[in-house]
Amino acid sequence: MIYQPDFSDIVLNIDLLARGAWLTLALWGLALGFGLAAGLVLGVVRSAGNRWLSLPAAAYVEVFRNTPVLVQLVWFYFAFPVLTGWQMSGFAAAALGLSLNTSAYCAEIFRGGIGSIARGQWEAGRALGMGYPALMRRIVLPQAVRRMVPAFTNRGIELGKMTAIASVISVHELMYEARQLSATTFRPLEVFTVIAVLYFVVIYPGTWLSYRLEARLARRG
Amino acid sequence: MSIDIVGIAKNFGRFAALDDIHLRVADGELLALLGPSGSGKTTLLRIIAGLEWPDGGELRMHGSNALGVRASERGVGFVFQHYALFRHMTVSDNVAFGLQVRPRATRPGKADIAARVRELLRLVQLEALVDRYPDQLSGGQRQRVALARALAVEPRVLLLDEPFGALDAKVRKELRRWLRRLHDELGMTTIFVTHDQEEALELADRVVVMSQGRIEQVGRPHELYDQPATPFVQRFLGSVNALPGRVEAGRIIAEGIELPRIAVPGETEATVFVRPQEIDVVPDADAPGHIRFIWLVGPVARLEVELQSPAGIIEIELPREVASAGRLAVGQRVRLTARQARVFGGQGGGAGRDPVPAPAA
Repeated sequence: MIYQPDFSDIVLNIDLLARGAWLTLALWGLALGFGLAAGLVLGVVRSAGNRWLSLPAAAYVEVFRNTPVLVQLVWFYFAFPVLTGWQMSGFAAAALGLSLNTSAYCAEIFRGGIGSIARGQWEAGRALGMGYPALMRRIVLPQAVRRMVPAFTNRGIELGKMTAIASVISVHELMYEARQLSATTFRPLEVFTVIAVLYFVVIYPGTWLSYRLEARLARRG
Repeated sequence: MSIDIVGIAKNFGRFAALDDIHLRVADGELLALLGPSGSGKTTLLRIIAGLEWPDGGELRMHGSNALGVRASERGVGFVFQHYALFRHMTVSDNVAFGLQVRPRATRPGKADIAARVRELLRLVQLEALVDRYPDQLSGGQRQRVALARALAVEPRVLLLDEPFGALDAKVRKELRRWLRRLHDELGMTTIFVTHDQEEALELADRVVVMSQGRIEQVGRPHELYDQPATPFVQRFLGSVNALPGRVEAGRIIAEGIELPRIAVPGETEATVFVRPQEIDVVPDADAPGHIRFIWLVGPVARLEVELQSPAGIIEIELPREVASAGRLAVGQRVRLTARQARVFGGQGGGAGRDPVPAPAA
């Protein structure tokens, strides 16, 4: 007997998937925004050469890079409230866990990018009278960011897909809603085909924009 | 601005990059620091710039101590070996940058900065390239942008680290003559580092020859060439034949080559230095030497003559027409006569006794 796909139940429940997609986007945006900002600070601190600052930053990075993100989310959702007495919603725990995880990876991208800038560039800035913060802001980071764009693109794509893990702690994002819908309609093939398309639709525009940015930066030398 | 370097020393771990350097640079002088890789010339330049700190000694600029002063406050413009232009900025932004990052109190207005950039780009003949990025420029153009950027901050001293090292021979020649003209026009104290002796001798008012962190000799280009103080200087400033010689009755003799009269008191043997272009070659069937190779290099004929003596192989350089007129050929036996030769004390061990240029016998 040939399987007959039927998308009617999905069409009827499209609002659930749309709400899930919106939550996925929110989670992705939050984690990426915070991850980039915190990663920049950590990356600069790790590059500065001050051991009192760089060692704690390195420890933070290694903890978050060397433990599974699933464990981190579960820890923030279940263990963190026990230790602090501060109860978090699933969304808050997921946003925090993904943000901290992303910041650790972004810190390494920033550190690598900063380290790739030739020593002569630093010295040329110093010879013109610039201090470390101004050097970073005006000389090093503008050049380093160009080299980091591909790595950040990969990180962003990974993070977009990683939001699906939040369903484990009952965050009603796209994956959670898909599993619910699949369980009630008994149409897993149709449901997961549609959410695969939805993930692509959500993630690809960011990828496309990053390619455009890369090309534009390459043209500018 | 005059610069006084007094007993400057710098170590990198156990390696002595600079060892007790004493040097005075006169106001408005164009000085070359010349030496092989690892001689300490770039380290010395970076110490003057404030990019490196010495382990000992004093650095005075215009009479006042410069070691307590930050790089940006020394009034120094630095041109890096590989230019170090900011790749994300246009030519005009690169040149303007040093002025834009000044503290508000001393920062010129936008219009003044733009005017200064235009003036400098005209000076370095790059007005047409203001909106280009460094990646869109040739090596020579990048070099001139780097120079304009260094000059933008109106330095009192200009420092250049191997300024022509990355350029091809033709561009190098053009740029160094242009730099000499520019220096004469601006009258600024300028120090440049090079390992190319031709560059140093052509461009500088005075040349400092360095080796292994020490100064071997300081002097005007013709003084260094005509009166090298040590065997190192003699060897470094152009190719030279080092011949083992023995002293008989106060005169030096080297087998297989006729030397002019050189008095060498109190020695039994010494190394004789003869430049390839200071040797005359005469065909002679009974002579102890024969021509192994002849290379015609533009207007010059380079010969390699093998002597049946401890001297071994001698390099000779003749004008091409002289070699042709003498009908010299590979395998031919020839007699060699040195028009000029030099001997240093202590068997050429670099004791640094002033050389004795030999008058013709």
